[in-house]
Amino acid sequence: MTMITKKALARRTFLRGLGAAVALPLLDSMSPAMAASGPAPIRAAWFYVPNGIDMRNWVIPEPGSLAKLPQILQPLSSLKDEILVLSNLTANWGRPLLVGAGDHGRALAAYMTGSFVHQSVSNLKLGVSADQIIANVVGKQTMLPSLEIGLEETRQAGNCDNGYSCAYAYNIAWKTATQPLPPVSNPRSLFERLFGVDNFTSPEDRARRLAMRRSILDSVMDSTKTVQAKLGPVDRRKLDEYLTSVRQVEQQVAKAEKEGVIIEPGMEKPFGVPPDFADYFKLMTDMLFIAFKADVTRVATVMIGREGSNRPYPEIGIPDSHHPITHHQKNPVLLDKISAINTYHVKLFASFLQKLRDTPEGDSNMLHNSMICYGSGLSDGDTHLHDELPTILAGRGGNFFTPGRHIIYQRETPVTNLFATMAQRMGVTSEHIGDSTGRLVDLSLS
Amino acid sequence: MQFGGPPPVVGIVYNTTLSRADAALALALLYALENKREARVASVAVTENGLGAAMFADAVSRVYQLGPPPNANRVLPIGLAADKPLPADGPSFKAVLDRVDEKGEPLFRRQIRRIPDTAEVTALMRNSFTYFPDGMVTVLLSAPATYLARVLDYPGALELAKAKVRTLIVSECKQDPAAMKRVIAEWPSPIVFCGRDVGEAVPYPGASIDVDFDWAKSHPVVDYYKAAKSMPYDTPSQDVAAVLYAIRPKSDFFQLSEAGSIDVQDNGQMRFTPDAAGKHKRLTVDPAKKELLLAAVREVLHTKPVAPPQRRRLSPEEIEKLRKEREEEQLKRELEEKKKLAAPPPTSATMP
Repeated sequence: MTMITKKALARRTFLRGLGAAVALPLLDSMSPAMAASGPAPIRAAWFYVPNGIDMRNWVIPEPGSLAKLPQILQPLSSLKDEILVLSNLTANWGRPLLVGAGDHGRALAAYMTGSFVHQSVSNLKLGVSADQIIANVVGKQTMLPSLEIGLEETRQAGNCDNGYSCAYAYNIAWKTATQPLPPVSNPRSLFERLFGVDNFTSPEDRARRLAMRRSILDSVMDSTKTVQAKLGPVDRRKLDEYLTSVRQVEQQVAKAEKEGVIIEPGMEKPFGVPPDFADYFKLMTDMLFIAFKADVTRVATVMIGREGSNRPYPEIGIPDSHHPITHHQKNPVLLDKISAINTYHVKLFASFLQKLRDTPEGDSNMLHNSMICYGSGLSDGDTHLHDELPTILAGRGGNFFTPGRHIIYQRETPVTNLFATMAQRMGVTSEHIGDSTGRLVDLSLS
Repeated sequence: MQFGGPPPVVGIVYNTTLSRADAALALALLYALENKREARVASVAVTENGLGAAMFADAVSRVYQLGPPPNANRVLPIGLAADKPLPADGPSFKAVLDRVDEKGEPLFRRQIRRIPDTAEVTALMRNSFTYFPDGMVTVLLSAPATYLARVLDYPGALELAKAKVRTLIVSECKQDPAAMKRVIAEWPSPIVFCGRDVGEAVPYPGASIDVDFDWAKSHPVVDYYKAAKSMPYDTPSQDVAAVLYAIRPKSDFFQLSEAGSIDVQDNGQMRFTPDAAGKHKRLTVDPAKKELLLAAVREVLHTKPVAPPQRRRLSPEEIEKLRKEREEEQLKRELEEKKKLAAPPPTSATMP
């Protein structure tokens, strides 16, 4: 991390003030520094959706260029040249194997670790997740090695699924075989994590700032002025836009704290969460966007819901809990509800991708330099299938992938082969991730 | 295994080129014995052959699998090594796959129609170990060891094989020398060598092919057999014997040699050499039991497969009872684990 002392700004420049440290986005004034340190950073993120998918409306029958997308993927139509749809990937350790029930606990736990899930409520034993394998290598270059975001309150103890600890169903990121990294689901906590409040200030300063209802940007005003003085008009505009987006997020966090106290029955919602799920999703992913833009981190996981989630979606006309309706027993009414929820999630995901694509970065845009995986550890939630996993890879990883296509792999191909390929793009050369058997071929046509 | 039910049966991982008539017969025997609940087909990994071979294996399996898949793992047990250009389908496969019914539909139903419908063989073989209790898998290698050796590269696969596989049966064929040498050196289970002499000792009589499968209007193995060579011909049944031994190892048709060593020469030829310090054994057929062995095989092949009994749906009370039992079992396990964790480490000295 560098303070503002040079004419050419360092890539890792922070605006510092009382109880805050705001990382800067990529600016033209950083170009000499960037030239020295190489091209724009590559990021990897995983968006996990729980309870499987209505595969009737997800599956594309033939491989090749993406044409008309099925119902659930329709919201990605304008982005179809930016995505790869990958079929037939498997998470073997999620299967019942010799144990039997407990598919939801295993589905999430095995998804990114590719590891056997030890059935226990108190004695956790799993593996290191793909994001953490990557973060262990590239995380040293950023303020936060990785970011874990969740859109549901987390539980770490107790029996959540047939003898499997809640830790398995609530955590996608595992730092070690026994240590999960609980996702941050509270917007304020995420905001403070991103802007270094916890790292750079005392509890007293933080409390004082909050009590005075001051913006974090007020705290870094002096520092901002110093930087602005060094910038050309284009960079000044970029910085203004960026700080405005930080301010907007901060205002949304404050608004959610005011409004989010109403907790609907059956919803696991922490204090300070926007009542509307779409607003919640947007707020949390706006912060992820800022984190990526300012290179606060390059590795993130977003749990759209915990595995086995019971969240209702009244805003799209589905007041039913999510998990029970996924046991549809081929009932078309329930299947349609599942499709609607799946489509809703994809729509929200698409808005995040769109934002990345609309944001120029170097000669391209942020999506171009990212690898955003969207998927689930279950395909059909009714019969709890752990193969034919619904999987999308968005972005090009900086010219590494050739999107706009549907690829069907041979069955039993581990989903961790995809993560091993993403890790390779991030410069992580470890031979295997969990049960991976190699890297996925055909992701690039060049 | 799952709660209640019959004791678990051996799972067979069959890595085959499917390029000999006895391999087709062995496949039928394997699925027929699965239908009789004597074994489960853990996986069939087709290597060194084309898509038609996998489609043929699929067609054979569907003659015998009359019920739903055996469990919720939804095992997809037919793999195809497709990491290099595939050879064209031979006449035996075409004879099976080109047959159509009166509506012009394939006579032998199958789901494999393209490469992605098959499984990737190395992941398939590794994953199929995980479906079975310890010591309940037998691997029958009747193909170059190229892919089985690759399985050894995967983290944890050696330990998995060590725990799950009771025997590796190597059916003699032209080998990939480097891969076979690696398997011989590193494979963790006992290895039994099934040489060509075993097959020659019990030739399957070609004249029986129509009789043994006469319970079916048409059968893919019959068509394969007839198209493989000019009829009538008898075929050495090396893989057939190996399958029977894998599933009925205690039957008195077979004898195991004293210790010895399998080796593979640079030209891919295999050899078994008696050696008191060796770690392998050779399978032989008791000369007095040849006819009985063949009769046993033919009896199985001649049995019409039956649909498994329908599972009764449990009542809510039964489900609740099962749930409580599971919870009690789980609680017990947790307590034992806690006890183990709480136990002081063993020390050589006694504390005062």
